[in-house]
Amino acid sequence: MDMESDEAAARSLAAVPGGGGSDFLSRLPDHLLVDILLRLCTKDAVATTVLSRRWRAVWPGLPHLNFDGVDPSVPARALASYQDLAAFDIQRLAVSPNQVDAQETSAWLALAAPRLTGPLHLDISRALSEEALDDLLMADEVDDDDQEALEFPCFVRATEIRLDLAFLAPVLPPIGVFEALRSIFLHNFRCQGQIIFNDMVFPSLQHLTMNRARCLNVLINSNALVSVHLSYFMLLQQLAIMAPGLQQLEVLRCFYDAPIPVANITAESLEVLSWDGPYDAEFVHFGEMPCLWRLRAPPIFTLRWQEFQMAQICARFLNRFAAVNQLELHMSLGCAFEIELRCDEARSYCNMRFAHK
Amino acid sequence: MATREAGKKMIMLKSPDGMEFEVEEAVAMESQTIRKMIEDDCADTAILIPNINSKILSRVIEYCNKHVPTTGATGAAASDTVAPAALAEDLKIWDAEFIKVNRATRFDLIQAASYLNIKGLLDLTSQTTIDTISDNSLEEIRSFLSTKNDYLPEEEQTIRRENQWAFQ
Repeated sequence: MDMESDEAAARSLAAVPGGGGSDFLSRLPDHLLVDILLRLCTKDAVATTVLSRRWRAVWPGLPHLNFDGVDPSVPARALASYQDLAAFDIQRLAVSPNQVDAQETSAWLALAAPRLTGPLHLDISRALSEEALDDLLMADEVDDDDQEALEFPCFVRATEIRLDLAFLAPVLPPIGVFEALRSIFLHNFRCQGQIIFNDMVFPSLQHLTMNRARCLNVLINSNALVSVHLSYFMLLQQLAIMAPGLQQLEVLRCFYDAPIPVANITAESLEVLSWDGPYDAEFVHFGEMPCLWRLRAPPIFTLRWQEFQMAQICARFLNRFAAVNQLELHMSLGCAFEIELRCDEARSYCNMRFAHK
Repeated sequence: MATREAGKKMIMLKSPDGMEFEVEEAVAMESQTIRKMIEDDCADTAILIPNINSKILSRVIEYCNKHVPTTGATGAAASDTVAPAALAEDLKIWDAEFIKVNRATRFDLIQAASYLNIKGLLDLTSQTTIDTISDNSLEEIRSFLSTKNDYLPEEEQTIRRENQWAFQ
């Protein structure tokens, strides 16, 4: 909060003790009061209901609800009274509870689902420390099936869903179509077995970003998807993508713990491919990609013990592609090391970035 | 205040109490409402700004003068040499001084900023009000907003019960 404005506010409070004078606010129309309350977190906005009768009617006009650092039960209680009072849909909902509580979270998600027409932002991970999250991501024991499930209802009209789940496992309802959903961002989550994205459930989904997950299989079958970004899927064993409209695919730091990484990528419109992870032509299949112009290959760090292996992975990966316009290759050159790049197409050029470490 | 310079188009703004303000078009166009009027060609002579008296309008113009982007203008060399971060910091300090006004003026400014659709000014005035609401007790807020508590005691109790979570 701004120091100067605090002081200014304090001064003007001191200047006019005990109120009096005309009611300045009564001159402001409701939409301006709503505009002012929108700058508060929803909890403080609701607290203004005790000011006077007029204020009681203001907060249900808020199109955006924002619960920051609240007890996990608060959104459900707020949404229950909002439901009784508000005439409008919720245009934006952001929640960041101060504790991880799957049950309470599922409760308010169910209340919000029918009314939300815009983005949903839920950040449960903020309740935990960075270290705790890293431990959950890297944990050795394989008890992912026992992990608490987060019942996630169908948001038919939501346009964007951004979840940071502190490694809860979201479970979708058996039926329900996320008709308006165009973007999904999933962070710090796990899934029981596999996670599936298809046109039946997500017919409008264009952008899918998932990172830091404990998940064995990812299956994507979509006509609408334009971009997919996956990173830090440490346990990933199988990735299957069939997306004829896909233009961008990024797979970073996935598969590293898998004995045999299996991937099947069919994306004939793909233009940009970033692949930073194991590659073995026997198990990783890329379909025809005639539009591909930009490629990022698996990196080589010559100081690591896997140096030779990494170079092999990179070379094998590059061999798969006859030519691209732009190649991005990350290498850290610790000792003398040579790599030969061959570009078969005359107009091709290499855009190389060297990281000296 | 703006001075007439060669090559800069000027616009006349009129307040309902008969005062006229000549401002650069770029300054006036900080207001999205006026920008639209100009772009729709409804502003050949003078623009009457209803509901905003000359005192408030002159403050609004002062704000727009300060906040009009200097990039692209011919004589902007002076501000080009200043780093954007320093410029932003300077503006912040200026804003803090600007908003040290009495409550009536502040609420008038909110209304003017809303009507003229000047996002920066609306943010500034509303945020200052919000900071007051966040940092003070209920009675102080009522007094600041000049809001009379028109609840019966039992009504207020009911309200508090209904939204108990918001008062914890």
